[in-house]
Amino acid sequence: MEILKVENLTKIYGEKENKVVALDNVSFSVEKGEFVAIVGASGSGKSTLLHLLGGVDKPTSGTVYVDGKDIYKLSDDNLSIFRRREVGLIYQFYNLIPILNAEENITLPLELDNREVNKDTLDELLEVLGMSERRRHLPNELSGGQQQRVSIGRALITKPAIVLADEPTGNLDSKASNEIVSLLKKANKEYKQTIIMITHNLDIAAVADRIIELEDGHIVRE
Amino acid sequence: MFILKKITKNDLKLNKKRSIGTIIGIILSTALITCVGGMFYVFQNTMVQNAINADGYWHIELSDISEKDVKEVSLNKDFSNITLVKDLGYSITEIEDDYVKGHIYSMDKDTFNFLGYKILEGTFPKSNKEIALSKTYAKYAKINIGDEISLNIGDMVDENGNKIDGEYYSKINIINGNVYTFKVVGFINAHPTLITTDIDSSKNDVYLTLKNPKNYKKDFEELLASGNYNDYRRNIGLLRYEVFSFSDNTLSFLTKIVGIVIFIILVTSVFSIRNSFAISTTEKLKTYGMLKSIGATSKQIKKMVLLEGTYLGLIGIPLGAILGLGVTYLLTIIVNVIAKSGTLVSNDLLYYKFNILPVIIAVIVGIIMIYLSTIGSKKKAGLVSPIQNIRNAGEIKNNKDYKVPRLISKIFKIGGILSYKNVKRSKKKYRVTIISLTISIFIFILVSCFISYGIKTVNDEYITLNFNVSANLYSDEKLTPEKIRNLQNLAKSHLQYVGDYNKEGVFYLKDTSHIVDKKSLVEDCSRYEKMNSDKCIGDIVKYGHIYLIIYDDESFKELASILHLNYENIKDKGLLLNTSKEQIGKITRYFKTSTYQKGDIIHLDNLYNDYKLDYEIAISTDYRPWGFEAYFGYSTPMLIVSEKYYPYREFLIPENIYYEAEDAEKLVDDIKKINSDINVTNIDAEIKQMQSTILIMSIFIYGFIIVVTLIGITSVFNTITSNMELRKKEFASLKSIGMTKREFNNMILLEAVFYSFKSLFYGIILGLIGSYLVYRIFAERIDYGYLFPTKAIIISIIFIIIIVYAIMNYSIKKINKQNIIETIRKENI
Repeated sequence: MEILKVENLTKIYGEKENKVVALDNVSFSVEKGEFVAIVGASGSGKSTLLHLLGGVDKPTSGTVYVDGKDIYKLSDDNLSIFRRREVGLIYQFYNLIPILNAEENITLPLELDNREVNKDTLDELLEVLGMSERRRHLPNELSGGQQQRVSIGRALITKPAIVLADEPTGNLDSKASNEIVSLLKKANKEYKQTIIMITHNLDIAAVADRIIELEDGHIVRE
Repeated sequence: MFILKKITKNDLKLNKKRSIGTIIGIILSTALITCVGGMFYVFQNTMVQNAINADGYWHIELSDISEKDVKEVSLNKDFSNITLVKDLGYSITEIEDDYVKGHIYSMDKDTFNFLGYKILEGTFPKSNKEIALSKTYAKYAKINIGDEISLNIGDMVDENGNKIDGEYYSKINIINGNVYTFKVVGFINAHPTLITTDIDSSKNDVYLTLKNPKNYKKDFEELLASGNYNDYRRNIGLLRYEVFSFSDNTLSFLTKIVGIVIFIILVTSVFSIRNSFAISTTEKLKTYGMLKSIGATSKQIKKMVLLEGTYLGLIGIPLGAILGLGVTYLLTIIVNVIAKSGTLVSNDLLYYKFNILPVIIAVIVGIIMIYLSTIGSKKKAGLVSPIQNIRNAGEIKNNKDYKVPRLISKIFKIGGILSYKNVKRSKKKYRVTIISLTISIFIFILVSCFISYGIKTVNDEYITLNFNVSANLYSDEKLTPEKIRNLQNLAKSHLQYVGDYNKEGVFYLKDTSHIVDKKSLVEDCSRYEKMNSDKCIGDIVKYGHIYLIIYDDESFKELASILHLNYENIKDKGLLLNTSKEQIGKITRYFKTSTYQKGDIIHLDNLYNDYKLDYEIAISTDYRPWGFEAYFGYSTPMLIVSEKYYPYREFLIPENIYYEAEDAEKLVDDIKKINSDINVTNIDAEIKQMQSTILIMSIFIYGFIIVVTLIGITSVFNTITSNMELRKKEFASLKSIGMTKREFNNMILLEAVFYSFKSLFYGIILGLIGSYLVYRIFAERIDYGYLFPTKAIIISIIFIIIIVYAIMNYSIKKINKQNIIETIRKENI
């Protein structure tokens, strides 16, 4: 089943002489439960692509269908609601809310959506993340790897249609990186979670079911 | 070194908002200090001007010196001006069984003006055949303008033949006199001075003006040592205000006030500006860390903070000083406009004078203020380690599991939960904001109370009165019945007579059983005792007193209708004012002064003869008629009767006329035209004067708190905006995981509400305590009861919520404009 469909996606930054074509007519689709890695050099347009998929940025032209829905046709508020229900975002720098502890950060998207937090689900997730002991810690009391695990938890808690991970290991040492990657793999296998991950590290990309390689805004290999 | 300057400069430009906020804070503080100091000198100058207007601009007077000495003194380089007056001597004019004494001088018109004399009527003498007299002298000696007088002018001696000066001798004579004849051409405002012109005398008085009044001590000593000047007089009234010597209550009070005010400004300013620097430093920790990692020393980093302060000060302090000077000038004009409209006498007008000292003080204080403000930041910046800068560590430590009140989570959903936790967990961040706002609220409530008690005093003293002009008819000259009638007809009036001015009117109450306050009976008796001592012995110490208030019949008629009585039925009866009140500490107790009832007959006997008064009581009332509005606190019952039905009318003497005038000012003139000696009180003018005094005070006090509040607000502005700036990334994350715009705005608004409530809570509690203290201070004089500062509290609540919301809203708008991804990305680099 096709969960994500990208059609002729183009993103151009700046105007005239300063024009930069970040994405040029990119089309592909992702099946439900797939783990896709997008690789490419710095400036190849992979982050732009991910942000467009997550609905935090708008394309110059082209469409993105998530679960059959054209996300750019949604109003601002509906796009926000779409994001909190259907997309889980994982950033390189975690972007946790400093005043909330680990557990609160994880349940934040549910709270935003006024949904009940299922305690069992939360406990299980914390267990999977290895964060049960540190659930009450504030972000600045956690290591980078731990913070990234919290942010993965935040992405998974809503059981979204897709999880988008932007260089999730970019800021971590190799041990922590391996942990995070296997965590993502585990989520993919156990929860049948569709994951699209950006990385420039081919070793890490190797864990994915499929690798899409970008170069200068074009898909050069799939 | 150059590069550090450049970084600092660019950083200030980059953070324009905060730099401007801080500069405004500095401008306001400097301006306020300049203005307070400036006003101090305006007041000083006003007092100096008043002294000059009264006596002229001179510092020392040498009396009775020779021509040679005058020449000598005029060569003294310490003095810029010498004014010569010829002293002709004294004269005595006999009047009935007394005399008036005059002191005759000869001077020209310029000297006359210089010494502050004023012509009240007529003109200045044009020749040695003319003279101007003190008005008092003329009145006693019954001299009019145009009269010829001849004066025997010579030296004044006492009964032993010793030469005397001054005024307090009962028996004096004139010796070595010469007789002069003058035509009286004018009246002047000084007694016992008589002034003519163009007559020479061997006795010279010189008035000397110092070049440099500050050196008055040394200059006076040198002057007095240079000759034999025994008779000298320093112009203390002028020197006191001009060089602040000779202690004076007004002046030391003013100095104290200025000191306290500047202290408040200083504390508020250092507090606010320090906060701005602290924010700026925290924001720049990354930059400082980076600079350190490439080899900048702690000293250099500290220098950068100081440099930042220097730049801000270089802009803020001069602008503040200029603003302060402008405001001082403007305030002087405004106060004078209000004072004039309040018909204050011209003495109360302010005289503006530029003085550089407040500017210098403000600049120095400004520099110290900035320096003190940078100390903490300098320390913090110097301690920065090159590594510790990526994380915003150390700000949020409180990891308690806060239970969010159900009401908040129910109504405001996740926005409420987030803002509640944010407020609870990052207490430190907003502490300064809360303290600043709390202080503003506190001062505002306190000052409002002060002013409302002031206004209440005026209202209670004047506005409850049933008349607006009163004339006291007791004067030297007995007014004829015709004149009294003329006075009565000037406006709607109420004439009140006094009965016990002569023996025929002194009545007492033999039967004292109805008088409540028995103690007053004894006192009353002892008062009568002096007149008739044998009546106050043993057990007949029982003399009651009724205060008889006698109005003209028209007024009595009006009073009857006010009390809903039929005049025809009661015209020969009495109206009993039977309630009084007393003040015991804070408690006001109302009590009845007698047990008389309506229908009872009050029987009064004359103390000296067998005259009798019998008045039936028509009504027992609390109403206070004209002139007796504030007549409480006496345990004597008061009985109002009509003059027309008073049996011994021929002995009554008119005492007061109370007018209900439409044009009070015109009425006062009209009364004065009939008889200038009548003592007139213009209540309207007094109210107006009090009101304009309160208005002037309000302008000063409110102006002061507004500026102090603004200084606080610049700090609040800086705290809030920079905090929003710091949380940009956090906000972007929230949005990226799906927070809608409305939820986001609600969250921010709620935070504003939380902070506002917190500072309102503390501010109002402190304000209430303060207002109670203010009440206690006022209650020592007159107790009006505690006024709850409802209005001030409501104004503070509205004001604070608007301020906090406006600032937060300003920040939200900027944040909402930003692209989520841009923000997250930018913040990560």
